[in-house]
Amino acid sequence: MQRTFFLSFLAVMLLALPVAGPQATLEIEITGGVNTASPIAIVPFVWQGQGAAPATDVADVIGADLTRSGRFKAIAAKDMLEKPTQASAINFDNWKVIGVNNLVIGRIKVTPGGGYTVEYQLFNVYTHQQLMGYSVATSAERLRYTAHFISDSIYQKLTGQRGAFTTRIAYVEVGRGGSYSLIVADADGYGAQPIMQSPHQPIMSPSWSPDGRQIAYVSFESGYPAVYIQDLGTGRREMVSQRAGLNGAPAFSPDGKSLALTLSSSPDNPDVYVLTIATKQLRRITTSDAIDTEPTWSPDGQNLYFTSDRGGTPQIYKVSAQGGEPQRITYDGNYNADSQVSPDGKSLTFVHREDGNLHIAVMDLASGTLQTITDGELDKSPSFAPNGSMIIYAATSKNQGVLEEVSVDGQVHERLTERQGGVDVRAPVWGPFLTNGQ
Amino acid sequence: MKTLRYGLMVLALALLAAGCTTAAKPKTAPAAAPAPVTAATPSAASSNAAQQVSPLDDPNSPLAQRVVYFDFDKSDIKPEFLDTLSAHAKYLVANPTQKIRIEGYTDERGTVEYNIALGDRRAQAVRRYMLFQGVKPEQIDTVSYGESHPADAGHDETAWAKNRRAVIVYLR
Amino acid sequence: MQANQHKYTPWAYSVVLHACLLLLLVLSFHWTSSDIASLGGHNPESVVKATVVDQGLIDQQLAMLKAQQQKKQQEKQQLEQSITDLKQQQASNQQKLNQQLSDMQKQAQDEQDKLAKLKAEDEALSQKHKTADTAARRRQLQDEIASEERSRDARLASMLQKWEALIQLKIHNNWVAPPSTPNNLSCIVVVTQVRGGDVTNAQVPTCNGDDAVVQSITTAVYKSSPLPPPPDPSLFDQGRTLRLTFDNKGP
Repeated sequence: MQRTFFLSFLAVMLLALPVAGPQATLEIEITGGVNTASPIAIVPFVWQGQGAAPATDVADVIGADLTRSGRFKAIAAKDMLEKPTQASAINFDNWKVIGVNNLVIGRIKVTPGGGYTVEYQLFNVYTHQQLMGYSVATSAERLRYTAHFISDSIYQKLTGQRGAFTTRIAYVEVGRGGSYSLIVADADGYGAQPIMQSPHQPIMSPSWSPDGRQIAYVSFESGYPAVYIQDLGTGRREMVSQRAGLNGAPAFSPDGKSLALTLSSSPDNPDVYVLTIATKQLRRITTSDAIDTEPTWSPDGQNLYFTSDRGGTPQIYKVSAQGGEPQRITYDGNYNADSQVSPDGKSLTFVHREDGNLHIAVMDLASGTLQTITDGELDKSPSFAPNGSMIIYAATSKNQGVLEEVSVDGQVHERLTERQGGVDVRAPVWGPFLTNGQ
Repeated sequence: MKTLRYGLMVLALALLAAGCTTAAKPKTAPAAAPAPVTAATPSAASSNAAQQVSPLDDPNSPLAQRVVYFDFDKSDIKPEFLDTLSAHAKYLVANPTQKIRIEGYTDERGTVEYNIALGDRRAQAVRRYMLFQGVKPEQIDTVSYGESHPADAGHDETAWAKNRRAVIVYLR
Repeated sequence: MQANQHKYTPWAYSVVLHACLLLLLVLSFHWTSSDIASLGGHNPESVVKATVVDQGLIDQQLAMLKAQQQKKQQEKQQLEQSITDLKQQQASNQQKLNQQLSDMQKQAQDEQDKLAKLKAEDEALSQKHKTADTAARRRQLQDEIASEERSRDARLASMLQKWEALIQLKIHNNWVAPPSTPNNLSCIVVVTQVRGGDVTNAQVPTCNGDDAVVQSITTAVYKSSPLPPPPDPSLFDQGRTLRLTFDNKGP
């Protein structure tokens, strides 16, 4: 009897105590996550001024920016169970239930001087934490830019990467009558402005200077190709090359002091050169008898990647910016051309032809693995966003040139706003990060 | 009866003669004979005026053919164009103050700047042939437009074939 | 008819005729090669300009395009099929897991009953008067009890593993790793839960990722609340605290 009692007592004590001395802990390893766009809700910002709300729907612009990047999926306003505009009004259960990870709310106020103030707050739906809250001074004219600025800050907070939503793009537009225009627009295609126009002769191959203040391009306005550098602020331009033969494919160096370009070293021999802009001195880089063209710089300014058919068909080669023996980079397929290096220097994007169709491909430079990320028929002119997360390129749709942006892994595609019919767009190039709201 | 037979025979011979000479010189009075039908040409009235029109404006002259077409990704001149080019070269040699510009083009199935280089290669191929035939270098100018200014804005093989070309432009 | 009078006239006619014809024949030869291009009466322009559209070539191209399209269709279908297969496999794995769990639970119940019975018998015997028979029987019972307890422990251990797998799976599926995640990621999250699975606390003592990474792993944990329950309720205390290691090893 006593023993039984003692045993029972022991059993009870053992059960009541924590199982091990220190709290028993399960060790679990979670390896890798899932590769989906993180659901985010941007509640329509409330207009707290008099009169009609501004034409720009700030929440809409932010949602479109984040979704276009491929890393997020902004849910539609109609799927929101509530639309709070103050932190105190948020019921996080309403957001957990629809599986949204993050929530953004905001308000637009009018300041006494006539400007606007945009306030916004970002929350983590599951921890209920406010991750950030800011107030931005702006104006009616700059409201869209401010929306992009907010997208940048949200993107950076949640991905650890700098956003590229306040950047700009340049491209060539061909009008119905055969006129050409060089256009500069926001990275989402809005706010397009022509900076140069040519009534009959082609403009091609625009290239941004690293400070975003100048664009180099090729113009055939004289009937023959010449390379120009135009200042976006003043509109003034300088012709930097009009030699006999080819003058093409200009590319600003990362330090902005040189221009790589294609010139004819002799008739029927296009070669890559580097021009020092200040002195106009030329340094010849390639010496083969084959076509050597489409130079592009590595981000450290040390190397040039270019297209050459010295092996029989166009392939990408790499050479020191000082000149030397080029090294072949692409081996997949028999047509690889028009390359651009990613901002981190680790990848290369270029046009890859397969079965007669032109696709955009991305290659990891360390391993040499190539991934085709588009499946159109005439996809060309790829260009990285300055944060390396997206690529803009030219495609053809319904017999017309269009611009598309694709996430670097090929998951998310978006066609930029198409204008009225008759407008053919091509040769897009993504501008650099801008400082101080240029 | 004999006269009739004579007459018929002479008539037959005359007609035959006329027909044969027509076949021998199609440039003159082509419409006059029932013999081998020539392609539609301007009326016989122009036959006498032929000598006064410059060969550059004569639609019957081989010089009227100013475009040379190329195969996909290729810049070699196909045999069927050699005679035309020779005719141009001959004319230029005979007229050493006449200048031309050779414009090179491609179809759209390649990158923009590589196509400029390919168009240039085609223009240069034509230029080299001319130089080889004795044309002076200062008579020939070249430019490449690559895939710009297509002859046919379509997106199929028919259009592309028309765009892969080199065009000879006589500069006045 | 008048042949009797002019015996040689037909001959003369014949010779003249043949001579003329011969002359004409000779005249009609083209001696210069420069006219060869215009032989047959074709305008040189039309010879060159007539772009011979090779029907064979076009058919070939069409066939190629069709083949390409088909290939793409096939690839797309294959991908869709493999996605469906994967989903099916996941579903069947989940089913299997659930089946295993319920089998285990049933087995656990049976074992528990058996063990209880044995212990009860042992207990009863211990009250009775000790004889050689009862001693032997008691020894036997105690062996059985020990062996039952060993298999129960094994079962519990296996159930514990299953519980870990369930928790791991749920959190993994809720974790969207940001692009700034380093390749050698190694972050610890210490999670406290209460019965029912609600997460009451999640701390990150160490993490070699940036703020965005830390956000993503805490979100993954909270999003997975309530955590799945253990297959055997007695196991819960062993998992009140979870020490999760987030890393990037493997595919």
